[in-house]
Amino acid sequence: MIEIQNVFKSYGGIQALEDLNLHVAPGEIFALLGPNGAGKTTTIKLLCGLLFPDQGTIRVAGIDVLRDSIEAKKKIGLIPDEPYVYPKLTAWEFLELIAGIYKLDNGWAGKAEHYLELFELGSVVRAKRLLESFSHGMKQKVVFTSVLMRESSVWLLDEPLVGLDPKSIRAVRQLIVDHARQGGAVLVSTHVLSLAEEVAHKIGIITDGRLRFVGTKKELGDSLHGQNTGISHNGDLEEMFLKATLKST
Amino acid sequence: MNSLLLARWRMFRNWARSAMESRWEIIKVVSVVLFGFLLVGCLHWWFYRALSYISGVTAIGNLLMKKLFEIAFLSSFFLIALSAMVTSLSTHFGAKDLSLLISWPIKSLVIYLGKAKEAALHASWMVALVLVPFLAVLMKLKGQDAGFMLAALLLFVPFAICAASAGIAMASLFVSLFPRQKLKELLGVLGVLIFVMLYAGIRLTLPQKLMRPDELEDVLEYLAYLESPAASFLPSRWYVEAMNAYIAHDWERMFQAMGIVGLFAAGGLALLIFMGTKILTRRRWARVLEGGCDPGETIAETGGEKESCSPAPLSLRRIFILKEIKFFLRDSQRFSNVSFILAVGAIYLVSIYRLPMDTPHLKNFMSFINLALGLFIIAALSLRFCFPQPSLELQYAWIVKTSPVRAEELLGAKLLFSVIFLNVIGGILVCVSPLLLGTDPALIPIYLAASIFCSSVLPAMALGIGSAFPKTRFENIIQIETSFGGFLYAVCALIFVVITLSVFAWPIQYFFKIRYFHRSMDGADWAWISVLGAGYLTISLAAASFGWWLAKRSWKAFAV
Repeated sequence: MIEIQNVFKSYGGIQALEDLNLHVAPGEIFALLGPNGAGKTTTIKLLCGLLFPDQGTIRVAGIDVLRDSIEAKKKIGLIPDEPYVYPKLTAWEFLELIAGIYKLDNGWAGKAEHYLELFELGSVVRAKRLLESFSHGMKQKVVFTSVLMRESSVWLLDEPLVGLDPKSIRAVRQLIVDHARQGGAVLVSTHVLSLAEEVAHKIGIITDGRLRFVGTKKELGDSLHGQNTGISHNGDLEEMFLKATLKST
Repeated sequence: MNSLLLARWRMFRNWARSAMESRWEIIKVVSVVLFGFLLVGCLHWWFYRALSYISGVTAIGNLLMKKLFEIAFLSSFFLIALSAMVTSLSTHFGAKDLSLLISWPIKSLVIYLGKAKEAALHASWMVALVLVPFLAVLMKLKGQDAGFMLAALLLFVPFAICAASAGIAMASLFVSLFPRQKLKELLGVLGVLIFVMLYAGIRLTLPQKLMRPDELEDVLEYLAYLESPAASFLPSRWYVEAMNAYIAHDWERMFQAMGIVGLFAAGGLALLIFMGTKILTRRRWARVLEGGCDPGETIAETGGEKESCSPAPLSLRRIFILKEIKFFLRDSQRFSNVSFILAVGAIYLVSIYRLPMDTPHLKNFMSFINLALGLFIIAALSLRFCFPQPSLELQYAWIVKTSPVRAEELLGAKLLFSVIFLNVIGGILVCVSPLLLGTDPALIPIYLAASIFCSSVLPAMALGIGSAFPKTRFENIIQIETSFGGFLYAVCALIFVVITLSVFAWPIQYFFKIRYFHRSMDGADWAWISVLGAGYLTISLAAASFGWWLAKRSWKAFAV
C-alpha cells in the first residue's frame, strides 16, 4: 500500500534521503525510527506530496503520488508533527471544512462526534471555542478526528503521541491497531520506542538519509546479537536502537 | 473551493464575534474605524483644496484636472502592483497553512488563485481608501451624481485585479527562477526592480513638464502634452477615459473604455492562470517552499569531529546586537519591506535632481519640503522596521525570559540597532537632497538635527508601543504593522514628525530672513528659539523615555 522505490532527495547539495526503498503492505504497521534529522519527516512529506523526490517512485494505495497526487491524497490520512489548524475556526467548522474538501457523505458527522467523545473533546466542541484557544494536544486530537472520520486507507503519522494525555495515547494506540486489522496501512514516525515496540509489525531504522534496517524487532535483535554488540535476541528496543544508530554513523 | 470560501467567511465571522465580546477589542476596532474616517476626511479636505485650485486655473484647468486624474490612477496601478508583489511573497510562499492546503486533495491552481485573491485584497484596499475621497471631490467639482461614484468603484475592481495580477505574476516568476533559500540574497535585485518600476511609473507621467510649460517650444505643445494620455498601454488610461466619458455623458465611449478595462482584468486573470499552471507548477512550488527545509550539516557529513574552539566571551549587549544584525539580514520579509521604502526614497532623490529649480527661494523651499518627506520616510521605516520587533521577539521570548538576562539588555540592543539604522538612512536622505537641489549648505546642519531627533526618538516610541500592543498571532509582518498598535504608533509618529517640522521651521525661517532679507535676530527672536528648543527637547526626551519605560514594563509583564 505504501511503496517507495529508489528515492533520492537532496536539499541544496545536502543528501537528505539516499536510495530509499520502503514497502508497507495492507494491514501492516511500520514504525520508522531514527535520530533527529535522519530523514523521517522528509519521507512522510514525500509520501503526502509536500515534497518531490529528485529520483524514484512513490506509490500510495497503488497510485503514483507524483503523477496523480490528487487521487493519492484522497487515500492518505496525515497527522503532521506540528498540527496547523485555522485559529479562527471552531473545531466543528474545521471538521466541516475537511468534510467539504474530501467530499465526504453525510455520515461523517456521526463518526466525527464519536471520535470527539472518544478524545473527550465533546464538551469543548459544543462550547464552540475557537481552535486558537486549544492546546497542542487538543489540536492533535482534532486533526486525528479529521483523519478518522474520513476512513483513509493509508495513515502517515509523524510523532502522533506528542502532547496527548495517557488516556488518549492508549486510545490512539488502539485505533492504529484497529486500522491495520481492517486492512489499512500505517507508517508511523516516532521517538516513542514503546509505541513501536507494542504495535509495529515492522521497524525501519533510518540514519543520515539511509534506511539501515527493516524487519521485526526480533530480526533486529538477531542482527545485532550476531555482531557481538552484547545485545540479546529479545532485548530492549531502546538498547537495540541505540546500538543500531551508533553502528551506522 | 466552496469549502475554503466558507471557511474564510467563518474565520472572519468568528473573529468579529470574539472581538465584540471584549470591551477592549471593541474600543480598538472603533478607534481604528474612527481613525479611518478621520484619515478619509482629511484626505477629502486636502484633495478638495488642491483640486479646486487646479480646476480654477484659467483656460487649462480642465486639462490639468484630467492629467492629474491620469497621474493618480497611473500611480495607483504601480502601487497596487508593487504591493501585491511584496504581499504575494508572504501569501504564496510564507503562509502557515500552505502545507495543510498542499496536503489536501486540492489542485495547486485552486490554491494559487485563492492565495492570489488574498494578496490582491491586501494590496488594494489601502489604495482604494485613498482614492475614495479623491473620486468624491472629483464628483463634486464636476457636478456629478452618485452614479459617478458607483461606476468609479465598480470599475476599480477590474482595475485592481489587473494591477495585482501583474505584481503577483512577477513575484511568482521571480521566485520560480531563484531558489527560495537564495531569495534573501537576491532581494537586492528585487529592490532594483522595484526602483525601476516605480521610477518608470513616475517618469511616464512627465510631472516636471506640468511645472515648467515654458520648457516646451510652444503653448500648443504644452496643451498637446496635457491632452495626450499617459501610458495608453496601461488600464489606468482607460479607467480615466471611462470616467471622463461618464462626466461627458458619452455612454458609448464609456462602455467601450470599461470594456477595455475589463479585458485588462481578464488578461490579468489569464496571466495568473498561466503562472499557476505553467510557470509555478506544483513541483516547482513545492521546491520553492522546501527552501526553508534545509536540514543542515551533521558532524558526520563534515567528515570528522569539529574542532572545539572557545571564542572570547562577548558582552550581552554585543551578543544581542549581533543577533539583531543577523535577524535583519536573514529575514527576507523585513528586508523586502525596507528595500521597498528605500527604493521609493532613492527614486525621489533622483527625481528631485531633475526638477527645474532656478531661484534660491524655490530651491530652499523645496529643500524644506524634502526635509518633511525625509522625516516621513523615517517614520515609515520605523513603523516597518522598529515597531514589529517586540511582536517578532515574542515568538522566542521563552529563550530570553528563562535566561539570567534583564529586559533592558535585550531591549537596549534593539533600540541601539534601530537608532543607528534610522540615523544612517535619515542622514543620507536629508543631507543628499539639499545638495542635489543646490540649496544653501548652511541649512544642512538644521536638517540633520531634525533627522537625528526623529531617528532617535521614533525607535523608542516604536519599541514601547510595539511592546504594549504586541501581535502574538500573525503570518507576515504586514499584519503587525496594520494592527491596532500599528495604527496607534503611526498616529503618534506622525504627530511627532509634525511637531518636529513645526519647530524646525522657525530656525529655517530666521535663516531665510537673515540671508535673503538682511534682517538680524533680536533678543525676542533668540528667546523664542530658546523656548522652542527647550520645549522640543523636553517633548523628545519625554517621548523617548516613555517609550523606553513602556517597553521595559510590557516586556517584563509578557506571559510566555
